[in-house]
Amino acid sequence: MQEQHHILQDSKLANVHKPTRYIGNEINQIVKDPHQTEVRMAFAFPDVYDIGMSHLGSKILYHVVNRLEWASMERVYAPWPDYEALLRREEAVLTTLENKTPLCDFPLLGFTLQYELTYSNLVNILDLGRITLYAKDRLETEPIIIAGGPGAFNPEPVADFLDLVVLGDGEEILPQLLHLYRDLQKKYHKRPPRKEFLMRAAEFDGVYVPAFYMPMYDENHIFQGIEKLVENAPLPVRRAIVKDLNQAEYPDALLLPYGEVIHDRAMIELFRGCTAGCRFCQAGCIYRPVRERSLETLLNQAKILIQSTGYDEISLISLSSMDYSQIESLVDTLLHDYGCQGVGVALPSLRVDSFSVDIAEKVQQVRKSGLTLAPEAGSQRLRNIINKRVSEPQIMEAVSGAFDAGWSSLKLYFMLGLPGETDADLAEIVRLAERIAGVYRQKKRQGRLRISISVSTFVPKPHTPFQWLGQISPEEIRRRQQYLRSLIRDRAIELSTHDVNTSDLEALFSRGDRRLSAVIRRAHELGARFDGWTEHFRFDLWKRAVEECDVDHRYYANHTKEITEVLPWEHLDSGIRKEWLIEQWDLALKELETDDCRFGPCSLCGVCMDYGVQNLLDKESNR
Amino acid sequence: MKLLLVFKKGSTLRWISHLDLIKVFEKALRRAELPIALSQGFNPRPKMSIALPLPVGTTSSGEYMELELEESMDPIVVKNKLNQQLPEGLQMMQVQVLPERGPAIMSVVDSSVYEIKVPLSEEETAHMGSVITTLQQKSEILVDYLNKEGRKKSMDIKPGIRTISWQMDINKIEIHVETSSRLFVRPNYVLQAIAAEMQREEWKIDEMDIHRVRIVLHI
Repeated sequence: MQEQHHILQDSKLANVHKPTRYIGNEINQIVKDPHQTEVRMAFAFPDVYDIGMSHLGSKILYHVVNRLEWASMERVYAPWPDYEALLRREEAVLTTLENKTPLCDFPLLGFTLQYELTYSNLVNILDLGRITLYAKDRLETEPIIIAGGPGAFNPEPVADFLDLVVLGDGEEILPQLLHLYRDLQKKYHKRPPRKEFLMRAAEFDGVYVPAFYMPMYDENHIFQGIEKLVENAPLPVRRAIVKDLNQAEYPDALLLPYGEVIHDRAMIELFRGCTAGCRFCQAGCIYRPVRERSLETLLNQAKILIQSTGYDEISLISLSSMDYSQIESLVDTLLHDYGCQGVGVALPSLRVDSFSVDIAEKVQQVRKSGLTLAPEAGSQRLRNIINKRVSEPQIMEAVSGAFDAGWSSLKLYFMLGLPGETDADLAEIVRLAERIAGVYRQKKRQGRLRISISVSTFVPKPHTPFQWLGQISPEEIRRRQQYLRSLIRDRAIELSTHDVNTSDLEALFSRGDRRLSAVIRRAHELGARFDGWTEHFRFDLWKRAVEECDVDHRYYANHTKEITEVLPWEHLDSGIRKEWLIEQWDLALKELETDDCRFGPCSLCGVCMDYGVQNLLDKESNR
Repeated sequence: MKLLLVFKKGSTLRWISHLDLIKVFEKALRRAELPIALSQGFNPRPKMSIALPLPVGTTSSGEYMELELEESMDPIVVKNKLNQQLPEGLQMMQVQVLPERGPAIMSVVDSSVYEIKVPLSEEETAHMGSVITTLQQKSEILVDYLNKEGRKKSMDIKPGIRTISWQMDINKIEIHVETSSRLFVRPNYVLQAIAAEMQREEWKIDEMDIHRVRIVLHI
């Protein structure tokens, strides 16, 4: 007999700041009768509604699952502290938006791991959903906890909370898991045994069951590799890949959020994967190869989405939309077909070149916004190291074009703490901004110039050529930030840097191992929530949790590993071969570039050979 | 062609703000593919306005929306097409054609009728009738409120109270109060006066079930 949990009364929402985060009932929401649905899954986004509702991947999965007649997916987002306080005060359970079902009553509950500093929210959602925190302690009647997203490529810090991790493209693997669950449920006429489900699921490409593997450490607590506890468990675990996105499911309607959300517009995904080869970028490694949707597919999806949502803006999503082989045709056609209806086009990211600025200018005919470019590093030497293949003349040409087109406000993204970085490289950031200001002033244009330099702190990521590196120490981050600040003379230039403690915590989890689950659990217990939000971040709680769990924060965050060392995420295969990562690291040391394999020769990263896939471009490149 | 629509806002939709409501309508109008007139300017918006914002948490069965179409259409068709695009809890009830050159709907709001339910003890229920009679006979009813700067102010709501009555059979208070730009009496001001008259503490925000029955226009 299942326990009956108290569900919060609707009228109590009068006590929270933004009640629409918790009501559901949005246009295009899909509500299925729980009694008529064979397999019910809850999907939890471990950040607030405003962020979660802006996330395209979640919308794709919502569609992919709900289009199965016998399955359903219901949503839940991390409760903001005021709502959490209300739930706890009223002793009410966290429920999904669609049917107000307590999370603990679902057979399956999935999380997406988008960002390390949402991990305390993940634990909090389990806790408020009345689910036993550690997978090993969970009862057969409790949900199977699944996680996917980019964080799944090193899920070890949260592994103790998870039953199953999905590596790669979710629309490929999730339906397979639900089919399997349904088959086993038919066999048993009730919820199938957890172990049997996990054993069978582990046979699929893209499924990792942490409990089937045990991490080994030596007497100095150094990670020594992973040992299989179950004979049939794959090692390494392969990734799930959609070979052709034109054949993949895409939502024909998008949920329309209430309230102010980050991205409130229609979205089409131009392609997945990126082969630009920036050596710091994890997305550029774990989502290879490039798989473009055809112009025809995209125009069709845009049409359907505008009709089904009523949005007046359509965003062109991908890791680098300007690299889409048909970008000009796509933008021109969208502007031509929808411009007269007042529907604008949004470009989330620009490449640093005049081509991109020209396209941005076209788009501006409908909507006006600021212009953002990401040179990532100030000096050519450092850009070579990170393989950001953009030269200073290209940058100057791009900004000059932007000024001519009427922009007077620029945002430039850089990173601090990149490998091999010296004070001279940092000074180049400011010098570059000053030269850009010079270009503007030469043009003697009206309007006040504003150049915002946003400098984030580099966090080494697993499965990238920089995965062995430690982050520079918090003291050194502070020193370099201050040094940069001391160089700013021009009043048109504005500098913003990232919080040091935040970057320090990101570095702890980024290359973390399974011993960090205890730290996360303890920090949650102490009250850590929404760590990515300045107003809620309590670094002191994390410090205490790290100390109490006897974890060496400096080792995880700042220690540079030997190339020969076994890495805690090495049993998870992103498709990229280790030899390629080592070669890329060597090239970085030599300050040498590598071509984008879309336009140049194959650099033998291995994914096409090992997974039987290839770059899929809609049109042959003429670059 | 100008139309006046009466709509209701209920169930969980009472939690969406006025701004959100406008966004919901704008997108619904687009999806309904109605020939909506657009405002001029760089950022054209549908020519649509709502008579009086409804506070978050309040339900209503009588809100007004004014809508301008570029061409003539059967008003019933407009209403039905729009209803197909609205979320549960939001529904167009009636529609009528407005004269082309009438005043803006917002400028002709006079007053509103509300039904209010609050938790009451048996004793309080028994006394409610006489409490309300007493209030009606007062020449002045002073209530506290916070002004836009967040400072505590006092105002007399008596001139804005048209009627106030106790519906014994359904345990609800019905009030008809002025909600114009001249004098705006919020239902919770009236509740504050009732609580004071009863010598009890004010009801908490999540205890007040307030429903706007209708808006009275002076056309």
